[in-house]
Amino acid sequence: MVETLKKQWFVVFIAFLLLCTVVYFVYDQNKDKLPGKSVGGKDIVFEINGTDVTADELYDELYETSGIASIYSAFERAVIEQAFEGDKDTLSAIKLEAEELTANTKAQYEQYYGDGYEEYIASALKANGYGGFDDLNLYFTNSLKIENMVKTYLDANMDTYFPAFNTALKPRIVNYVVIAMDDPDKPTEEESKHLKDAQEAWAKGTYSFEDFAKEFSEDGAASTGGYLGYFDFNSSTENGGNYDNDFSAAAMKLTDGQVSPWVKSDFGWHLITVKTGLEALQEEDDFYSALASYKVEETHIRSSVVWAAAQEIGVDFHGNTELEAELKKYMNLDEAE
Amino acid sequence: MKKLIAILAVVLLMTGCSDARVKVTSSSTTLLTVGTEKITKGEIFSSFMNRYPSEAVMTMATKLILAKEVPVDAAIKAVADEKLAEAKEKWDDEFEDFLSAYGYETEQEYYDKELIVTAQTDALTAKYITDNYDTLIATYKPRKIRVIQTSTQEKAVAAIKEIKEGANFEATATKYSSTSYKGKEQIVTTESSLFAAALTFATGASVPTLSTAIEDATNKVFYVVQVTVADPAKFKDEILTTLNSDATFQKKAMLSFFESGEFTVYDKTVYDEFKSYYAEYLNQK
Repeated sequence: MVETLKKQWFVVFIAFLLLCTVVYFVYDQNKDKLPGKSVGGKDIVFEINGTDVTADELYDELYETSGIASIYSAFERAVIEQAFEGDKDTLSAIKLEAEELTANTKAQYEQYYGDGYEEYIASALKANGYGGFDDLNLYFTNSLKIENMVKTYLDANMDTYFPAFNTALKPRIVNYVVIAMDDPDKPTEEESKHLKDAQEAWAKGTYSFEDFAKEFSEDGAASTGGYLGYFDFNSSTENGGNYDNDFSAAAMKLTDGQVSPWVKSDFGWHLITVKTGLEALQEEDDFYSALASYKVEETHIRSSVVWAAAQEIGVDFHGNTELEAELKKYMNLDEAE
Repeated sequence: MKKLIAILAVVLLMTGCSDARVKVTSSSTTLLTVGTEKITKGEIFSSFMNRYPSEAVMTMATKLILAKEVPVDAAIKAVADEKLAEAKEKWDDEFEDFLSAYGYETEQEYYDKELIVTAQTDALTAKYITDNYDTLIATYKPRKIRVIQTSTQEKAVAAIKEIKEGANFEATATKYSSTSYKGKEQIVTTESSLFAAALTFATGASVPTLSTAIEDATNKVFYVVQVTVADPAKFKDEILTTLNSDATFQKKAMLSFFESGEFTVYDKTVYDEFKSYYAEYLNQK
């Protein structure tokens, strides 16, 4: 053996060098890796004062604080992904909108957070029960699907939900004209002239509202005939919304198709018209959002939609009645549902 | 040679080792089935681990420290009972609403999770301070002092003159102090929030003494500091009470017990979160 080694000393030397290199390489690759620990087949998360705390114990602790919320996230996602029944056009529209939302969100996060933006998106998605950055499109797709499911449900149950909502919030679709002024109480000569010209043109009675808005209105909505969109009692700043109080008050006074007199707001002078019919409202996604969230504690529309869809595809708690009751309680569902 | 190659292959395989990530046992257990999709315990655990598990780890580790260092005994219960009685008296008819607002379903839950834990945490800080009293005194140099803050050097000098001539410090403060410094006696340590030069003067004094006018050029004010007691042994009980209610020392106490307890994390997700949010609690390399 010794003789062989002596004869093959060069080969032995090379082999030794190779071994050393590999050992160093392995050390270098692993030196920053966090080692794990297992006791009795159970993974240990941490230890302190010699006490090992297992992943099972951490699961129990976390279950107590956020378990049912996580289970609901997984439950809702499973329901949406299996129960959504959209036709080809709906699916195609959802796909397009999800792609647009995904691209916009990425752009916004990148602009705000810079190079590390993916991490922030991943973090937000994880908080909503998704795996990470790659699930952004899936998140929007599922959000649009549940929105669509809620819409379908509300359309089928409009008689139940709409009357009280209509009485309380007086929903409407608003179109408007604005003759813009920096300070409507002290208009410039040019601003006053614009207003006078507009008022005289409207007084002739020859314009439709949309055509008048296209020709005279002075903001970005002019090109769409002054389209503002969904509006209700809660839209004014005094009721928690974003719109000027004087503008809102005038818009809320109108009946279907009526046009307001000239109204002054902080932004200038306006003409306003509204549509209050259910058919017009049903064209607006914001109408469904407002209806779905109206008195949500009493109606739990989203929960009802998810639960009803789950019943259709089948849900099995494998005899765990406690979990079933807990989930229903979390969803604000009656025991009877 | 074949043996050597086999050894090298095994060694090389080790380079594929990755950071540790824990799993629950029976992770494939199905909690519920929706349509054809099974929602398993493992899946829910993964979602937990995606939602900042370090906070729960912190809570669990703290509980273990409290249980070992300051177990719930009659004294702890007495403190918690007193706090419960105070809360009931304060909130009176609205006590149930108070519990609900803070997320407690029952009075017992509030007692166990809030009052007992707070009493234990206070006891832990007291234990840390008592056990390390000499070191803490040497490091943080508690002193009893009085402070006047004036808007001009002339006022500071005039105040010093009057105090040296025997005027009452608080009365002099009322006369010259332009802010909330009313000359009341207070305990300071090197961690206290006072203008740095004034604090250095106070904590550096070895005998009762009076400063000259100390200028804070940034804020254009002057301080007069009187060290009334420079020997910590003369107000030990007050020091204990002061340090015990100081958040800085409460944290130092907790950090100390995490270190002595050799807190070690074996999961990469938890470890990374601790590095980001609770780095000072980690002592492992």
